[in-house]
Amino acid sequence: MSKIDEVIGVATRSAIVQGLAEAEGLDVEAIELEIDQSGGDANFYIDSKLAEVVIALVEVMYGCELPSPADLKRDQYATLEAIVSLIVPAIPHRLEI
Amino acid sequence: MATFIQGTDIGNAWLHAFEAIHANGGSIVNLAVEISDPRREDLGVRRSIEVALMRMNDSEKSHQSIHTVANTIFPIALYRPEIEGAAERFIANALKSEFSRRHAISKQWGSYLGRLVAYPSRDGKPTNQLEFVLRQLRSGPPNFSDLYEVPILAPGKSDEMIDWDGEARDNADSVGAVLHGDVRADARWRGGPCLAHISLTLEAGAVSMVALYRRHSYIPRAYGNFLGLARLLVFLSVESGHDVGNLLVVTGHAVDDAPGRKHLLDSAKENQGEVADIEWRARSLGASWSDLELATVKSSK
Repeated sequence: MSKIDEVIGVATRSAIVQGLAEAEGLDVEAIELEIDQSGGDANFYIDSKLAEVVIALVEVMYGCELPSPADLKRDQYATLEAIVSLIVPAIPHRLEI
Repeated sequence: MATFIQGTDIGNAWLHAFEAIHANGGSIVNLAVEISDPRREDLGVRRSIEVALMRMNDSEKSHQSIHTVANTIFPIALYRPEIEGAAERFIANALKSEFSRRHAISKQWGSYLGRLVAYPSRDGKPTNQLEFVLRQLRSGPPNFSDLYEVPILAPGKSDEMIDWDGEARDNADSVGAVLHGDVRADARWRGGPCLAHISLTLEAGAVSMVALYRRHSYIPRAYGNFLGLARLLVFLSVESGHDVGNLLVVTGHAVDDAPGRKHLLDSAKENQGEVADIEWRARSLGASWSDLELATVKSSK
């Protein structure tokens, strides 16, 4: 992974957590606590419909279209880590994040 | 002649209906299936269907799990009744998920959930039928106990014509939601939308539902659709403060046209009896849903 992808990855993860907080009606700290208690990003699971909601919110934040779970296999978006990996390549690197 | 099936739970009703379709050569015209307690299902029957679906999967066709089919009507991951304003949050999130689907390659005609929260009216303005129906169910005691079906929503009409706070409010005890859109767009031979209409009746403190399908494939779709409708009925009942009534699913053409149906019938009969409450709300945040995916269904007889 390139340096810029790493930077975008961190920013994207933050955007997804923010989207999750908005969708669930919780604050970001509460979401981060749940992620920690689940064992980290790779063990924090997200249902496909919730993933659609979160991706829609991240699209608004970034102002670009991102992959939709409707087009993906289940294992491509099942965890927070998987969603970050999915979204990062779809974000134009020229965007200022 | 039409056929009427009565079942105690989702699995029991599905099995009796499937048996009737099989006995009639794999097809029934005008089939009505009543589920007296849609809050209950039969996990043994459900597992038999999912094993059959896995066997039917090949490189060209991949069937959805029952949970995924049910999600097309009511995705439980978006519903947390323990949170204040749960219904409004569910509806807001459902609208966002539809936004995400708009540019999906495999969006096809849309989704039932999309038709519920953003029905494409002819005037181009989406109608939030779910919000409308819920508001109607919450609106107080019905005045017209004999008014069983009110065509409140129709393509091209808006709920703005109803004065919710005024004396002239049309306080009916039945509401309907249209899921089949314009015939010019939806009148396809197969491939959905097959669910055309949902009708709700509030009587004796309980909400009951009638769902109308033009066609129903009983192996890949019917159980999941029964489950999705049951989840929607529980949601509407809980959020309007009423009990859950019964569910009636009427189908114009019910078929079991997939291979291996005799084996499935035998398996479902053998495995029936594992009756449990349906899952109708989100799991704890971060919890896995993988046990409901088709690939992980354990082998069954």
